[in-house]
Amino acid sequence: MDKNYIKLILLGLAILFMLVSIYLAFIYTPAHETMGDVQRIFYFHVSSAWISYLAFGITFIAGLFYLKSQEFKWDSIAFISVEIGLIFCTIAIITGALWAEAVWGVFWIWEDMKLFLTLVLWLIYIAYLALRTNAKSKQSKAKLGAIFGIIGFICVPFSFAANRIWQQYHPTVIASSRGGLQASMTFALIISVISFTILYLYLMLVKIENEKIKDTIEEIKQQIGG
Amino acid sequence: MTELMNLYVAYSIIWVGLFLYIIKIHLDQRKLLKEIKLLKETIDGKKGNKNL
Repeated sequence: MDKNYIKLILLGLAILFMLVSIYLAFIYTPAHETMGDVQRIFYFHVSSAWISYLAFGITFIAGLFYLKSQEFKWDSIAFISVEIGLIFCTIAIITGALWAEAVWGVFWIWEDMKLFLTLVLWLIYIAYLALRTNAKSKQSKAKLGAIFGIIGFICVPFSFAANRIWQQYHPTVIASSRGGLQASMTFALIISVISFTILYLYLMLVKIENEKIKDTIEEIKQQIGG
Repeated sequence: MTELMNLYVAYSIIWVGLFLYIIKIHLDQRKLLKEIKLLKETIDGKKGNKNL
């Protein structure tokens, strides 16, 4: 199938699912018994956090593939995934802070390991981008990126499981036995996660295409120069 | 209601931001495609001059 069609289908699906998830989050699901309407932030907060974990996971896998094959396409995928992951990680942090202000009365609690590790995660991938910017050659950029992406990923499972391990302030809503989510809320969350995942795939596709065009431009420039 | 309105505002900002980002990467792509076209024309021009 033509790439443009795939892009168009993904964009259409992303928009459709996003509209449905907004409807589900704001109209379909009831307000939370204790938190009220502010709990509705949860559908987008969890989805954004999920996409950031997924994106950093893709960076980890692409890093491994790069180190094995030395093919630059894996480096491009890893780099693009970090860029997109950082956007969604930022959204997760901001939405989390908005929720915290409404429920806890403060935007941030430093003692909470979930919050702290998520911030560390965000900083790790900011450092990843900074590191790449300072690397001189394309090879060193890719190699450093791959190694950093692999090591940085160690923080992801800790950030994900922090509220389960330390059980501090951050709520554990999706717990196995004591989930505490109504069926309608679970449904809204699933749709929201699907819509964000489609959006991630779409962004990845467009950005990978852009990177390929950039590489072609470089090749042509070298041809002209030679 | 104020709480819900605040949520609407927050989400509008996030969605507008994401939407602008999608537009930005498409504009980038357009710019890159233009550049590639220009470079190809330059190459063709060079080849044409050699043939003369």
